[in-house]
Amino acid sequence: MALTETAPRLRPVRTGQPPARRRDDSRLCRTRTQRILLAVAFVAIVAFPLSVESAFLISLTGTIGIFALAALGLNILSGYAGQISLAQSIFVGIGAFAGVALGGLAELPLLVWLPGTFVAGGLAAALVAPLTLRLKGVFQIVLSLALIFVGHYAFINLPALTGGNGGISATPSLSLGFIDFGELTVAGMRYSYEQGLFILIWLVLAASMIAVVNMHRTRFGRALVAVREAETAAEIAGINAARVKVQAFVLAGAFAGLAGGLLMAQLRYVQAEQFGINMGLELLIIVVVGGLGTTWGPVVGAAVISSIPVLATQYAEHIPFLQADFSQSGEIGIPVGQVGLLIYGLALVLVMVFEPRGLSHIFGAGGRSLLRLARRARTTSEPVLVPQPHAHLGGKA
Amino acid sequence: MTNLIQLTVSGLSLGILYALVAIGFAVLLKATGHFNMFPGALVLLGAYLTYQFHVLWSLDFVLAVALAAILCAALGLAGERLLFSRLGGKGHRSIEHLSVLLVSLGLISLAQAAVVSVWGPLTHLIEDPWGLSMIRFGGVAIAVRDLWALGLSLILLAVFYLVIQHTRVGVGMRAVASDPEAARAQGVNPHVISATAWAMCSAASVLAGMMLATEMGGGLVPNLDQIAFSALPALILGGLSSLPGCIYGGLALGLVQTYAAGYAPESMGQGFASMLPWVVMILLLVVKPSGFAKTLETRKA
Repeated sequence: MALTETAPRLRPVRTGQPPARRRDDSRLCRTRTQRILLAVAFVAIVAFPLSVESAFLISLTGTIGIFALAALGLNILSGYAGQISLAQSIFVGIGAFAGVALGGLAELPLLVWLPGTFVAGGLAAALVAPLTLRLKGVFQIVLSLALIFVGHYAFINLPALTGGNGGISATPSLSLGFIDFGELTVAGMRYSYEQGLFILIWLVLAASMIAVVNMHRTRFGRALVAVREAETAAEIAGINAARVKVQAFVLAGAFAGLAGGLLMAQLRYVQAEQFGINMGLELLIIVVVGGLGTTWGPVVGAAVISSIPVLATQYAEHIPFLQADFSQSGEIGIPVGQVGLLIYGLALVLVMVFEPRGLSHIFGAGGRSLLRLARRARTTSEPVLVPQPHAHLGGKA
Repeated sequence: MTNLIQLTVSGLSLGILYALVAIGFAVLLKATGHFNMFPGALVLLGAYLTYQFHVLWSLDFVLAVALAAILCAALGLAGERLLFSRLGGKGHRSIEHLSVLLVSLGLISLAQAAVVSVWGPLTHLIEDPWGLSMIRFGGVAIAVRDLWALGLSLILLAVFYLVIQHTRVGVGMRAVASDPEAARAQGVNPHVISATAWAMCSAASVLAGMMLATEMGGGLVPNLDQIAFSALPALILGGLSSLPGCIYGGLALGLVQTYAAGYAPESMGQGFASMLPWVVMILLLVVKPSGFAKTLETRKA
């Protein structure tokens, strides 16, 4: 008698959604809420620059978008295909100088020079891809460092295209024919060059993100992940691992080139010095800190990593222990120019130690638990039967 | 001819410094099993600590370098115990074998920011005993600092050789390098091994950093760690974990770079000499990804 009674009653399990509705985890929008959020995001891209007066905020968010785009490319290579590279900055540089040549010197329209930067970055990556992908781990990292030094040498010794050490300025056209992002007019409101460029950057970023998420669901995208997880097994399954890795590298270079083109349009002046090891490291850190192999990782990483140094420079006098510049006064403080390095280092170490899955995982988990709290708050108003499986055992003892 | 001899001596002294930095990387790789970039930060910190002790606190130069080396060894060991050894297997699948490398890159950034915050962005002189003095043999002028760099480096390398080949710790280190688990089962204490490795790495890095920061080497600059990165081709040329390989690789690159600086025509463009080691490395990786030393070893076997 007692034995049969001790069998614990089954606790009713709340299954959030029937499994049939979750067809594919990698879809861009899994729920209707997400679809609505996406539409809101598109509206925000157009509305944000109108509602914000400060030119500083516009240029900051534009920079975030550009770095997110370059990091998005690196994420294909590092996150999905599992290959580490510090040389993403060189492809950004190639895109920027291609933009100078096509959009600035040759004065071609937007529809030619912007895709041109994409192609230039991809071609350059295709040139070096067979070399770097033969190698693994440490060899690959050191080779990508070599690419940075060789690329920098090439940049400063092609003064006709790059202006050598002094840099080169360009004023590319942002006109699409029917709309000109350079002097955009929507419903009687005129946008400035920076505001129009912001819209262009974030539209390109949004389109690229959708393309990458969709790519993840194609045969190629699944082959990438298969190669990352188990290269030999993937090859046995009929995937040409070498070809898949080369394609990932080319895509990464192409997105970097696109970012370079937009960076050139934003600064209207580029210099070989910008595309060195510091930018390469910054992009790698953005991807790692944001979360490798995640959709939103590059954006979250860029928003944190690229904005903090700029904000620190802007608001230096309000932050303790920060000096506007290095002075010999003997006062202990961090010069503003060093805040970037400090943040990169700290963020990388902290994320690797405490949450190697990246910030986007933290934000995702935080958002989900908030949602769960909200849902629980809604359901507690109804009487809930909480089963207590061992209560009767306690009574007998 | 005199020009050739002068270039050869300065090339060899630059090469042996590259070899020292490369050996710092290689020893750590052998003893801990991870590729760690932190020696790059030790090169930088070692030179600045020497400056702090010798110039600002006016200690004796030798004492200052020794203190800097001890402090750097302690820093490296603390990093190993508190950070690097706890990272094993952490991280996203694609980077779990590179987590140590990424964290050490982060620490290099921090070290650079710290150095500029404390000592400023300007070039300093560490007031080394050699200055710009030259010795003349007939018509050949050779920098005293180059000779000292060669001599001190060779002494340090000889000490490393004795430690690795003829002491208990050295045997344990070789055992760990060939099979960490079997070595542990035989009673090799990994803490002793990693402490020795960090001490060796710190001695090599601080000596190299100090020599690179002498007046002859261009003075103390905050991007000294990027100069130290130029030792990475030497490491790759030497086959990543072979200590003699690092020496051959370092000397070869030092000579190549110095000859290029001396003889390359103007039309090769600016920055050609400092870029050349990387090109040599890329060519080697195309032809023979395992490095020089590996080919020698396989031929012997």
